[in-house]
Amino acid sequence: MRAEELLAKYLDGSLTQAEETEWISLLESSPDLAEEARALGGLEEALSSQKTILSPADQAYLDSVGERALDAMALPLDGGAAAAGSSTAGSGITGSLTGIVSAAIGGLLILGGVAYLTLLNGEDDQGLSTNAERNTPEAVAVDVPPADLDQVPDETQSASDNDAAATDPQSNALSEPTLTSAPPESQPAAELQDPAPELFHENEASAAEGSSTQDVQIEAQVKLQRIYEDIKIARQQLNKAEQQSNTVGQARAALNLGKLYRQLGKTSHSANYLKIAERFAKAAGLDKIESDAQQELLLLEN
Amino acid sequence: MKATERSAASDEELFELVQQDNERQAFQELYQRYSRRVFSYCLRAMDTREDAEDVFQTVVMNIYAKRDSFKGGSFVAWLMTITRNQCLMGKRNKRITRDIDEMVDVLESSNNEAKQDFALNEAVRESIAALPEEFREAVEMKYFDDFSYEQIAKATGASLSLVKVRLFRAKKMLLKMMTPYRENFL
Repeated sequence: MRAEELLAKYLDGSLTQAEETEWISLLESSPDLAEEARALGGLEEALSSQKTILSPADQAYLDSVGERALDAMALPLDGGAAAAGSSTAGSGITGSLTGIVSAAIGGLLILGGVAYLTLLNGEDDQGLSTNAERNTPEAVAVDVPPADLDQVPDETQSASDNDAAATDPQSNALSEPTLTSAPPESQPAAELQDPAPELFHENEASAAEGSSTQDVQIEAQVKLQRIYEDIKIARQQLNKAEQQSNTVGQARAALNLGKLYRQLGKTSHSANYLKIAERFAKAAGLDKIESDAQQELLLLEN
Repeated sequence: MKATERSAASDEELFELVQQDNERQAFQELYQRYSRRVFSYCLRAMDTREDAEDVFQTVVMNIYAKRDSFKGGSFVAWLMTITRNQCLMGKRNKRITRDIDEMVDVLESSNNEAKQDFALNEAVRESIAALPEEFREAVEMKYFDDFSYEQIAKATGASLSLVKVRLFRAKKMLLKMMTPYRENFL
């Protein structure tokens, strides 16, 4: 028992001088203990080598999110009402703020929208009901679907999901009005309810021309798949460029990703990659890419 | 508060400035301290980088939007609770659309593709994944995220001594699980 205690302290590096003497004495008398200590020390090194190493692109992404969060702080946010107000509509700061907010909302809406298509195809007929107890991590981990997927979720539903996720360990203040419950002002409600407007509007037109519902769904799925495949390729290009420290390649790939995510309606992802593209382009003196990225960012804000 | 004072200030002092004075520099200091760790946590917890980015951004948003709900205590505990809950929520939402994701085959994992697949590393990862939740979490926070014992204790709500015990036991369990690789550690 004493040996275990000393072993733990040895690994922590917290042996006192007296304990160290005792520990050395123990090691000399017990080769098994000495081997155990060496193996545990080696294991610690192996564990440390597994550390997640963030790449320069990761850091650029973090910088981008951080900048946007700081931009958001420039607004009076209390109660969430200010974020939905009109006094700052259209400003760059508002764009940043709503970009962050709509990222969470938009992401959920896209998932909801895609799931909706699945339901239409009859691929998922599970009974999906709201789990009123999903505020606790345990409930979230165990219970499956909380949302009613018979309908494409609206922004209120998505916002409440976000609130529920941010469970406060001390006060459990989940129902307080917050930024997340305010609809983003720079994004029309219709767009909010339509996660990938460019895709789905085209589908509606096709339906009007007489295509069967199933054909429309397949067409939408194929288009989605193409975009995701393009995203996959662009990500690979970004990684490769990053490994080769190829700033031009990184700028191009980031610009592509920004455009692709915009097509998906993922404004926040789009903005992040566009800012990364802008930064790399500026560093490499690529005026065209920098300008394209800025224009795309303007499109997003508008 | 001057820059030198900010860097020396505690997390709680800085967050108080964010709460009361909306001080951007204080938020920035906290962001610098924890963004990498929180993002790393999200990358580990979520299946894809895209999901991790979604969750991370929502966490950052919530830290500020819900700043008034922090009533004292440990900032890192509050932060990590929000992060963990958001990851769980993200995974749950992901589960809803898993079928679709498989259909369109978009679950790219560029990080995994880029990593070299050494057997030992895989074994370490698999063994960690097989640990009981509270042990696994402590190991990941200690060795992957560079959290101190004290920070892990605050973040998980466990006592300092319990964290030390968990980590020690976890390492012994890992060593046992990795018996075929034991000689690699000697």
